[in-house]
Amino acid sequence: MNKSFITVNNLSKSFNDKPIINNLSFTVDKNDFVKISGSNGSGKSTLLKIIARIYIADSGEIQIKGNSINKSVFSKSITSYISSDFVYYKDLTVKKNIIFYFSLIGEKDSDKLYEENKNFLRLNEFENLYPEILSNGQKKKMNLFRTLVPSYELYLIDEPENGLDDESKKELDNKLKLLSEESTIIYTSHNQNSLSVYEKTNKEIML
Amino acid sequence: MKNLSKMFLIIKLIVLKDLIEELKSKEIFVSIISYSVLVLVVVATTSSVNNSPEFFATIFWISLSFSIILGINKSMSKEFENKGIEFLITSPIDKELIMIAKFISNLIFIIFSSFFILLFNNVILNYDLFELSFFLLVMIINIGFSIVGTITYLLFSKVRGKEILSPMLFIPLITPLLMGGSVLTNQILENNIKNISWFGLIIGYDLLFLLIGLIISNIIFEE
Repeated sequence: MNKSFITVNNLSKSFNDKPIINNLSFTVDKNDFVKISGSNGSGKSTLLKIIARIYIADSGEIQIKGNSINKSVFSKSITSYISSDFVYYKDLTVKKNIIFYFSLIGEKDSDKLYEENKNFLRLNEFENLYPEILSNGQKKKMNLFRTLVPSYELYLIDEPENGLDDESKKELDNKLKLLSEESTIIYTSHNQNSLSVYEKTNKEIML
Repeated sequence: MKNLSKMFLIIKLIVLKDLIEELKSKEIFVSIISYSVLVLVVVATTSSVNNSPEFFATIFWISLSFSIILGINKSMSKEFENKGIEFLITSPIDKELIMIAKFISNLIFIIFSSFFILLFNNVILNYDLFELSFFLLVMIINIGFSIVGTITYLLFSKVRGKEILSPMLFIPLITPLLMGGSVLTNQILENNIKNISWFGLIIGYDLLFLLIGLIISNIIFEE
């Protein structure tokens, strides 16, 4: 009986015949705080995207809580993927973008969840603006708010602190500390000293 | 039953999102309507062909099908701009529901635009195409346009040159719909529908591509 929270077996992925991830295997236990390390282009973001099912692996298998991620939407219902890119619909305001996402993932009262948390990262300051006119830092905050506010068992976080001001980094730090009490976190970062929560790292996967 | 209502809720959410986006930008309606009006104006000013039903049927379907390419490309590219599609593919929802929602959104854009194209057809070419049976025909053909257009865009969505490749596949695939549309439009305008089986063929074609879209939805939404 496999009791690991995540089991990755012989995972491989190539782009244009260039192997990015080659026969990677590892396990992650519940409530682990895992860092994925590697140089630029080593496949850190690709690995997170495969676990989040944005990319499909060429071969190998990933199980979350004993369920293959390819067989149902179960893994997505417990996983939040925080992209290092800016992800939004340009013709929806910041608030509408987020409420749309909350509704999509099945939050019962999306408006309430939004209203209760809108001070997180000071999102309320630009909630009625359209994303196209926001600064990169504000777009990053929108992404983090959207993906960190709902409760999940697993958070896949790709360079979360990039582009944030010091005050927002502190808020993010506190939020991640809180989330790590109950959830499993897998992250990538090029600056290990940027957030104190990274000290909780108990496992490292080298790519 | 609970699952069914959840499915409807997700489809409704995505369609409403698309409509809200379009109400703000109006890019899709403007693309479809302006392009088809341009075709109608060019035809009206350059053609000396008689005003037979065949002529109007041909012009209507040409202007509609080509302008729809622009509309669907615009509608679908909005989903991929700024990686908005990640909202959908990282959510715990079946890909089939995303596909159905996109079919419906595109269908709404096409039907709404078709009404205006008909209106302009009436004004510019001075030919009345406002018939109930013609509306039914436009409806079932638009369902096919929407399904085939969505699938062809998604098939090439990650390929360089998708703006060219997608129409190159779209036009051959909708040819049976255009053939049926053209034959039936003539007969409707002459008040003499002889080939009613075309309606069945068009609906069958719509259903076939709906099925194909649902089957391949799991593949084409992931990289």
